[in-house]
Amino acid sequence: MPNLQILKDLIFESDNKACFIERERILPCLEKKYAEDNSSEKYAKIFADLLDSVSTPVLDCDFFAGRVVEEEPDPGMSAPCGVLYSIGHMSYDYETLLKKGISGILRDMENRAEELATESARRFVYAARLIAESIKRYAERYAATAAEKGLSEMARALSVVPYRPAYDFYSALQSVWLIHMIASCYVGSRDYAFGRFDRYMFPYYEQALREGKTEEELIRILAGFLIKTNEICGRATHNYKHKPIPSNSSKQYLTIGGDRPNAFSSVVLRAAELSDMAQPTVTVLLKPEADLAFTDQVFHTFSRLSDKMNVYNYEVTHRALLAKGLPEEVASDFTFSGCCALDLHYHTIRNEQYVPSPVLFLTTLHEKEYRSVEEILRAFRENLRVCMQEFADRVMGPDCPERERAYFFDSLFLSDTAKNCQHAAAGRAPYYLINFFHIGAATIGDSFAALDRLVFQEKRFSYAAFMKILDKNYEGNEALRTEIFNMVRFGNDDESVDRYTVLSAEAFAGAVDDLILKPNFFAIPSIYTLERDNTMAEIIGATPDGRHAGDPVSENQSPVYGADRKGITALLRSLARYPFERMPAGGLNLSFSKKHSPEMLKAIVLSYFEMGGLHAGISFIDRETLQDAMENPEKYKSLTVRLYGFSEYFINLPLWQQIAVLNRTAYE
Amino acid sequence: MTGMIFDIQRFSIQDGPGIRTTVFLKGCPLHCLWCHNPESGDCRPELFYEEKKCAGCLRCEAVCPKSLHRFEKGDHFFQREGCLRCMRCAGVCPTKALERCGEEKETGEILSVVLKDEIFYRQSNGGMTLSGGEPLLQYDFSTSLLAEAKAMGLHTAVETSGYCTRNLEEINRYVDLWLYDIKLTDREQHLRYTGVFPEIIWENLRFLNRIGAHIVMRCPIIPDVNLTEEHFRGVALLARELSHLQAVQFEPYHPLGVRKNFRLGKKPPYTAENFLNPEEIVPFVEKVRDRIPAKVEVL
Repeated sequence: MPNLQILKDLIFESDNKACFIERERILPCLEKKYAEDNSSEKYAKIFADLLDSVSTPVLDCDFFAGRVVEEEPDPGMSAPCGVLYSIGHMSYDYETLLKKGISGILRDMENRAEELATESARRFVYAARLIAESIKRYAERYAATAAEKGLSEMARALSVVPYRPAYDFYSALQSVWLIHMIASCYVGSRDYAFGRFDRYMFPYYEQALREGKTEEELIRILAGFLIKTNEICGRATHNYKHKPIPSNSSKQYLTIGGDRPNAFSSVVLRAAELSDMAQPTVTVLLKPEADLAFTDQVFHTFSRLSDKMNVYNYEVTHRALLAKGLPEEVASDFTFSGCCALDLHYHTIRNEQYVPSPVLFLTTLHEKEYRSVEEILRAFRENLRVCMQEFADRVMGPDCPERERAYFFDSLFLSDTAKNCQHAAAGRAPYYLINFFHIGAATIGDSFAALDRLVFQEKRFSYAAFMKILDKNYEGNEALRTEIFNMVRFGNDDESVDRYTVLSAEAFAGAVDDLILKPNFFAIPSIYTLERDNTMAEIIGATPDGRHAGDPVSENQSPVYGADRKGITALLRSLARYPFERMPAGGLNLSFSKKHSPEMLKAIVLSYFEMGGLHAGISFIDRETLQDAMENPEKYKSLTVRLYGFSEYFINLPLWQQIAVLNRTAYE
Repeated sequence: MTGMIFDIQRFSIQDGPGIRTTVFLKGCPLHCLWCHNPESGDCRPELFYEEKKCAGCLRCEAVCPKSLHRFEKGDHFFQREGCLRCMRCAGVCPTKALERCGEEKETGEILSVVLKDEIFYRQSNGGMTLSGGEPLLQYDFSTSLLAEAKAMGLHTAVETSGYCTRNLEEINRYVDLWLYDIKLTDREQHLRYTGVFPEIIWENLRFLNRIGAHIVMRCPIIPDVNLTEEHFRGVALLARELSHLQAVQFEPYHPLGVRKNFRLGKKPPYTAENFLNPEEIVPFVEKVRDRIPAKVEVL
């Protein structure tokens, strides 16, 4: 059984400067070796050589095999080497991996290639076999190391998985881990997600119970697995302390629940409580009436883990995907990977664009002298459409730069492409998803509200005069700014004001509806900023809501910080007015100044979902603790806070971001 | 029917079970030294003024019929003496540096706000609480508001000092829970710190118990006033008389009333600036816990 504390200590002692040193030393040599090779299997050859060359270390405390040797980069080394690369942000078809093993996936491909009888399919399978065989050899070497160390269960598992099907609970987790680690650390990119974990692990959980394992034993094994996911990026943060590795600051995501949570869904939550680490973020797709005991467990765990998990309203997203024309079996299969971005579980890769909505909004305002909010909204929608169409054309068109990249490894574990011997990025899979993220929703909404009142209704300024005030960044108009700040703004349950934010979000969703897409491409609009509320802000001029040029815009689905003054129930009623049925991803972070009971959290979140709310990520922010952590970081190594769509170690954040967390509206 | 209120606070989670909306009624017959809602004492509307919020827009100066707002070198001088409480200045202040406190509201108007959070009450077994001020000072209005809320299926609670000369039987028909303040248990001290003798309060408490009302005793604990073994013993003695007591809750002093006094242009009568640490109360509670025949909590 894993010694959880030792595994955790190893993470906390990890160094953000270190890279996966063997990869970085070997890949440049392989690049030279295959410089003249123009065959379609060049990627596979490099991959196989790399896997054959790296060491297979197993520590005495390891419960699952598969770790990479990390050291500080050599002088002159520019890590990470880009020879093997992917965009990540996807969920593999681990269900098929566990059921069939890589050998089974390969066999299906070979049969299909024979049917297709094309040169490209034949080459695809040839390269896939090179990769599959190298993974088999790699696992066998791990098995030998484990055997030498007397770790018999590990040795046995690795002589079977991931090449052949998993045979029990432990071997299933070992199989998933090895492929997940190769994807993240060797092929290289961030945010590979575990998908609908409770669904594909459930048969192995049931089998383990039948074989006499206790639930407590399984929870401990699973906690060991969850802690191990932290090895992917250690304590690196999203935008500050990068690790020089392909999966730099890669967050880990695991989804449970949905239409039919099972007995294992609650076990995952209990293991996450035991693990209690920043990774992985547990995303619950909640359908409260589906399983009342599971719903209670969700909020029990939520009150303990707070920022390390989040909850989505399953029904809202499910309905939205059906409305987009996706068939039921695909629409019910969704998951979230990479923060709060929607993913069609297993099927294919996805793309995403953070649309610079506030920039487009200001551009729109300066295009002409408008006479009404409605007129501006129409022009804004059209400008959004043009921007998004450009991106969609790039993704769909023959010049898509992503297609030039390999993705070969990914293609083996995405069911729709693997079974047709296609590259994931070739554009021929039945379902491609493009997430379009609306930034600064409340800033834009409050701007519409202020413009409408001051210019169109009260006529205190002509349109041109008000634009001049913005151009001068409110210089000489501080009293006006203060007045605007004190107007009722989005987030106070005032429908007459909230409607502006809703209308501008609808303009965004409408612009997505207007896109011309190929039939196998599906565009999903959402309200989500990641850190663009701060980083993009630098190029955004003064806005009519009283915001100075360069100041942050509103984060995710939240009101502008400090604008919501009527308490959390009023806030949630405002938020529930967003058209989530058309914008079914993205996130909301709520901060409380003290811990709440599971019952209180349940009441808050379920009330919100009943009103049509989409998502809740919750932090308990104790200002005194955060301030002390800023002064005495060594005392707070494990202190986490929720940021955008994931959990981060507070002391690892840059100062500006620590201050941003401190300044959030925290409800009592 | 209309009544004078000074706030409607949503997401109240300390004023009864679940998520609640608390309606604060204006006017109180007691004058507790430490009162954390000093704006609740006077039955009439009052004017809050907070200097640091003033943007210097001069609008108050323009509308004041008594010329009580003056601006010199950008500084705002407000002379309260002579103020007619016409509230014109609060009406034009864009930054809420000047703010009206207290408004006549219809019961229906209040309930339309309260009902906004109906879903939250249902999910949390919450409801509406009347607080103040002293809700029983506006007895007929409170009764009417509670009756309408009950008719709409809401759980109702009343937070009261118990100082009321009216018969509480009628209003109790519409009250699911009484949050009944016991501030002091010594008669002379009660007069000294609250301005009234406690007999009416204690009699009403016993009366409510006799007619089967559900009661939670709420005891504010104020440093240098009632953080004494005698007071805790007194609370326990009173509690033992009550067969329908659900809980005794001890509330540590908080200084949030101090700033409000300044906003009202008043000198706070009790100026302790620190929150009383709940842990300081625990040893006193432990000595009487066994003598109280109900749940004992430190909030």
